[in-house]
Amino acid sequence: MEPLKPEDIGKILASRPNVKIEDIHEYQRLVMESLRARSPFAPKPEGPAPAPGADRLDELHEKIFGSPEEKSRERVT
Amino acid sequence: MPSAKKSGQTTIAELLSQGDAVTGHRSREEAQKYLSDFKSVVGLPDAPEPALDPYLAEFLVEAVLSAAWYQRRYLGAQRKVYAYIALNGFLIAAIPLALIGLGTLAEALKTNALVGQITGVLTGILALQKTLSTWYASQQRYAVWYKSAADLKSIYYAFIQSWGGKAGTDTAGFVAALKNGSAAARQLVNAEQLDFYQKLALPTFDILDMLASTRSTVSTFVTSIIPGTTPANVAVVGRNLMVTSPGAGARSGGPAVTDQKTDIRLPTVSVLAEGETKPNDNPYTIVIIANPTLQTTSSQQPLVADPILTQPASFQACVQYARDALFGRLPGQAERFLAQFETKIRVIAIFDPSLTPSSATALVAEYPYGGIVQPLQDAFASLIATYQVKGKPIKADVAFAITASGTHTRSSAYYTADDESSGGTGFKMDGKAFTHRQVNVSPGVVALHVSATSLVALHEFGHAASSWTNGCITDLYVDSTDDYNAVNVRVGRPIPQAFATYAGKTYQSDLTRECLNGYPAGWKSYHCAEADDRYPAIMDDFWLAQGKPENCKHDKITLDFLTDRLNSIMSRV
Repeated sequence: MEPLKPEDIGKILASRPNVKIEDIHEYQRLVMESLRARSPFAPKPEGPAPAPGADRLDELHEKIFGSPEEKSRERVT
Repeated sequence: MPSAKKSGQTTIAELLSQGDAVTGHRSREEAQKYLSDFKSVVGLPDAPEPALDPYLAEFLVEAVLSAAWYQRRYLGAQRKVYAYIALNGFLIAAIPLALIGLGTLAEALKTNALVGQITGVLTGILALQKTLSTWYASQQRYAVWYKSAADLKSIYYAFIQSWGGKAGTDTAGFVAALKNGSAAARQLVNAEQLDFYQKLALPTFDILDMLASTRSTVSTFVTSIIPGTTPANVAVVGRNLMVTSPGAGARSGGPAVTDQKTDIRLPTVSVLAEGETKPNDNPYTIVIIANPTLQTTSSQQPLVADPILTQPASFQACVQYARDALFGRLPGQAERFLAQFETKIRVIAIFDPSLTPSSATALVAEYPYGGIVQPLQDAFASLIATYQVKGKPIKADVAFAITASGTHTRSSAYYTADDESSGGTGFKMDGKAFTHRQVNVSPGVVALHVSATSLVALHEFGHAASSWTNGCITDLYVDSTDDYNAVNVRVGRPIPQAFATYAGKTYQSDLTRECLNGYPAGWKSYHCAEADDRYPAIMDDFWLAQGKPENCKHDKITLDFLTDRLNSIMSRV
């Protein structure tokens, strides 16, 4: 997975003061893990099922990129 | 609900069922025609009510007349669809019969030129049919109109359910409900209009593309129906038949496609590098294919033709970029480990705009998170195998699908799915036995955005060339886990001096990750020592390299692992 470009990270941090670089790191990790798990060829992990990360991914996505309502408002304005 | 139907007057129920077949106007004057029926339904006397009538009229305009307008458009489109299906049915039935008749004529005249002429005429007709289909699909917003009509009707029926016969019981509540219903209906109409205007654009038809992509199919079709004829893969002018080379038009060659901006023409399949000559003609093979179908995040149109299919020049430039990045030819590129293998690697480009959008040809999806384009790994092997080189279906070791998604631009990759029954070179990693398998059940796959630059292609190749089960090369710019037998990352604190043992050799850890100011606080993962510790590894955040990304190299274990794996695959017989 291609790393986010520094300028894109800079834009996010500048436009959303409540987002920290740690949030972006965690978001990138969760995106990578969820993407990896979606391949039909990914072997099933051994041991207990991994902790669910989908809710956290949605939460971070909304925090970093805005909620659908915010985006909709941005489009209208 | 009682409904007061006056002689000759359409009721609201009839209007919603049939649409406003006459005018489709949405105005207060038009609404007045239904005011009496509406009052009857909600239990108001059929007499002027100055305090209520404006709200009733507004609701009729926004919800009922709007629903009727959409219903009218939808029913109109439905009728056109039936006519269109009938026309296509006629063509399907008539063309083969006409061809059989003309085939007899061709035999009688003892000329093959007739076949070319038929091919030319049919190509024109079918390209026109394709053009009309494309235009018609964009003009007739069948599903959107249907949904809008249904949503607006829901507003009306929900209102009637709540207030049918009860308007007189709570006037203030009734007016508030009318206002809310009007506002909700207006919102729906506005959303549909916004969507309409956003999609409003002049239709773009590449006539030459339409003709070129239709021609070969028509040629094959004509010659399959008329016995004893050979493909005439050109249109015929007058009676002069221009014969192209045999096989042109099959998936091994195929029609050239022109990019009008640059006037470049691409064959369907191009062997850009032959690779090593082997008895079974199975050199290590990299396929770079223009993604035929893009799976989008839209629920209304989940599968669309990837825009790359109309951009042969951009595709060609991206192919060249990928080859340069892989083989170390970017300006000032430090990592050149694949250059030693270049003469042994077959590189094939596939550009086939004749495919229609379908799940079978969707190699790339827009991932809902992070602007990522995701390769759809299970579709690659079967689609690529429909194309041939030297009469054999193509089988890739690594495949790049190039996409021109307009919204998702970050590339990504999946590891190779090894065929565990195939041979290979055994090795041990941290005491566990693995094999560099020589054959795969699915190639390593990359969704590469057409705008990719710098080390993106080489980074993604690092993932794709590794294996789901026999050692994967993972991303280092996140706090990765060591799942799937990761080669280049380990987890734990404190970081030990020794990173791993691989193939009998011990590798040291990168204790500090100094080139990127250390491992972030809280991380548990750590990496192998760098080949050049002034710069991050290629699988790390290469964008942050001092100077330029091209200064980066693979870390030591990644380099040795990929080199061994390629050598093992290249030694297959």
